[in-house]
Amino acid sequence: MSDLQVQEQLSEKVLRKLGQLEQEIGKAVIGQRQVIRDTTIALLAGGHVLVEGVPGLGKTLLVRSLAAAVGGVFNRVQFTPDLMPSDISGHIMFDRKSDSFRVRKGPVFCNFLLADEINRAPAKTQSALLEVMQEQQVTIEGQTYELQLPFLALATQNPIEQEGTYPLPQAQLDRFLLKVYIDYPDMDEELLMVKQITSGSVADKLDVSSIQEVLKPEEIISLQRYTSTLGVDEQIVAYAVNIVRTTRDWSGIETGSGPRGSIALLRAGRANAVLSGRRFVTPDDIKAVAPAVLRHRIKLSADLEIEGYRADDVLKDILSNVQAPRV
Amino acid sequence: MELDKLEISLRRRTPWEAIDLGFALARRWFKPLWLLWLSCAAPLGIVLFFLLYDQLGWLMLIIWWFKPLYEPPLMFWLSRAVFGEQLGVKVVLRQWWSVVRPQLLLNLTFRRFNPSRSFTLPVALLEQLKGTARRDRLRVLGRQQHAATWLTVIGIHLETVLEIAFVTVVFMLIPEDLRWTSFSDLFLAPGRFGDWLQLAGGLLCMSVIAPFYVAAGFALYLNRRSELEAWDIEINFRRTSERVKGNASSRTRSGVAAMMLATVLAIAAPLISTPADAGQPVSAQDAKPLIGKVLADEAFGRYEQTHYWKYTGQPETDRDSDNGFIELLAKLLNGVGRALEGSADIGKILIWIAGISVAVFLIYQVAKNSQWFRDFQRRPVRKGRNRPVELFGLDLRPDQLPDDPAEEARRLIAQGAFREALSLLYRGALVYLVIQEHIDIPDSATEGECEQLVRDNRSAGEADYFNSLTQHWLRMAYGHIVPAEEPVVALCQQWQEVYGNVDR
Repeated sequence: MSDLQVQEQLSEKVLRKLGQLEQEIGKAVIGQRQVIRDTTIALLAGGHVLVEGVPGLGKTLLVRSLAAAVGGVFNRVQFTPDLMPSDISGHIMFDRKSDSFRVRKGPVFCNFLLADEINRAPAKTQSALLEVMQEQQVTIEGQTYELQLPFLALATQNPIEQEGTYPLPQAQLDRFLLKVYIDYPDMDEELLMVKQITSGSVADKLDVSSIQEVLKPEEIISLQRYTSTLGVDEQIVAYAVNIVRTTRDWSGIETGSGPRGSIALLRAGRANAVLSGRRFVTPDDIKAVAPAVLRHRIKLSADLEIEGYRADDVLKDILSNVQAPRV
Repeated sequence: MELDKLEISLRRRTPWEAIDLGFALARRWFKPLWLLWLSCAAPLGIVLFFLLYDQLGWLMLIIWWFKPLYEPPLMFWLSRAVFGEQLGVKVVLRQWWSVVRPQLLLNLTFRRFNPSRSFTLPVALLEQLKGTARRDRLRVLGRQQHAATWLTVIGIHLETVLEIAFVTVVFMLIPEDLRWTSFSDLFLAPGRFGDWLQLAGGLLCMSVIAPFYVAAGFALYLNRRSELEAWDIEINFRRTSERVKGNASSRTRSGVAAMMLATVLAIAAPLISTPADAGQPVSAQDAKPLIGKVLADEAFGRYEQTHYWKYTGQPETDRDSDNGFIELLAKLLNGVGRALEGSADIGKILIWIAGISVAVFLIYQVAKNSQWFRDFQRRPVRKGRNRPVELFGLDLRPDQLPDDPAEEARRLIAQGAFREALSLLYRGALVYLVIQEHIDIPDSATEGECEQLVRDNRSAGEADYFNSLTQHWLRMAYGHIVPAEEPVVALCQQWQEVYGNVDR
């Protein structure tokens, strides 16, 4: 059996499960389809997600549901101003019983990590997490520990209450594959959500018991490999690069995206194609993921910000001006 | 016109005193005037509210613009009230249309920005003059009458100040803990509440200022007519005549009355502009001895000599003054003034041209942004539209397509050139959409977006076919997956049915 056939078989089998993955998460997280789709894209592309939204919109539930559907380990860290790097990565402690030092691994040793309100912790703690996200390994007292894969970090930011926060610098924002806005659900979705959560529940504990495990962590790793080897036409690559390069010369953008933006566009575009059930990437895949991939990689000029424009408005203009690929 | 019944005391007044008189009238009859204004404005306001309840800015502008619908009834009521006939509000409302209708279109458009609106209104409303007659009358009435313009300027300022004061008072009455917005935001970024507040304040202030504005304009008009037609003298003589009537014998009385009347006519004749009110004209020959007689009287025949000091030397010039720039500027401006002396007509024409240009530009802008205008323009615009000649690298010029694309595609399939065949079919479909169906496909449109456009604008059958064609094209173009022959041949057959009538 050739490699191609193996790959095709893998995709046929696993793609069916992938469709179920989004459905399973949707059982617990009512509405927020785009957020679920973006998180799944990040999972397939092996990236991390920065979620921005007001509290109480289901960010924790989203990650817990994802963990439940994939059968992975879920951890949550509430970022506070006194959080230390070792509180995330772990540290060495002296065990008096065994009369020896032993490593206590931090919450980062998991498959799905929710870094809640990441901008509330000081820069060094943020950096510790971001290094882990990039390297996928942790060094404690000179000893390197590999993280258990797949590893997806979902960091949240609150757009309100900015006093006393440490906004992530542009260089660190760049480490996130996607930035996702999570918004209020509409009336019907909220009604359904409230009914579902309050029926038979004593407190407002998040219930993910209805979610079935549809994929195993190993299958996710296979899927990630499959996604990364998906064929991309030269024109598509050129299209992604064109979009990113346009952000650098666009009026109203102070700092455009770097080459990491183009790379992220292709990674996310591939994942989007896989989720759409295709074995090739189309310009639509790139266009669909471009806002989430680029919105945190560009910095608007002061006058646009004062006028109330958001990165998405400018990106919309860019996408409607960059020529689609010419085959 | 029965001057005997006039309820105001007529005497020679300056225009500013006349405005004062108008304000006194408005204070005296404020309630009926205010009710009249509200009764006229409220129905329009309610109708507009239902039409434009979420566009309060427009609502406010329209209510303000339509002031010529609410002011004439006030003028009508005042014109009766000063002669002792106080009509009921209902009576005036019943005649509303006949009062408002004369020259309404002009009042709402051309004359809306007339700065002496309340002063000129009686000419059209009460004298029923129009066209050249109106213009001539206004020329006589309006000579040296600038107070009417100032009345409008002051009215606008008072209205604005009152509105700001109203919003300020409401803001101050909101407890500090409950304030959700700043004072400046209430004006600059008002939001829903601010909009409503400004609307309410605007209406209230308009209704309060309107009676004063109209009454002052009317008083100015009365004063000017009294000045021109010597109403005050006429009234005084009538009163004197009445008084004398009781004491003197009928002969004496008639003699005195005849003499007084002759005197009045002699004095007033050159000033009278409406002969109907002036009585019988007296020839200059007859008037001369009468005037001489009157002037010989003690009251007129007195000469006084007064003395005063006047400096007759050359004024000293301050050579060390540092006002060189100002003097230079003054010289320059005087020079320009002298150069343009007598060219006021040119300036007037230029102002008219500028005004008309601005109006045309505004109308064009409004029309350009409204849907009906776009619909109206659709066909001519599309005739001259630049069609895209290339999309996704595909040549869309109709003359680049073969006569029968489907047949050509079949020939290519037979040769194994699937990519070229699909490209041809896809290109043919796009040519049809762009040329025949006038669907705007921007340069940045991806295949998915084209599909969405077809789904939105074309029938379900055509959308299904286009979807199938796009999927095959995408697989071939980006996935490099060579399709089976059968489905592509089927696509060729269907192409003929769907797009066979493409006009090339």
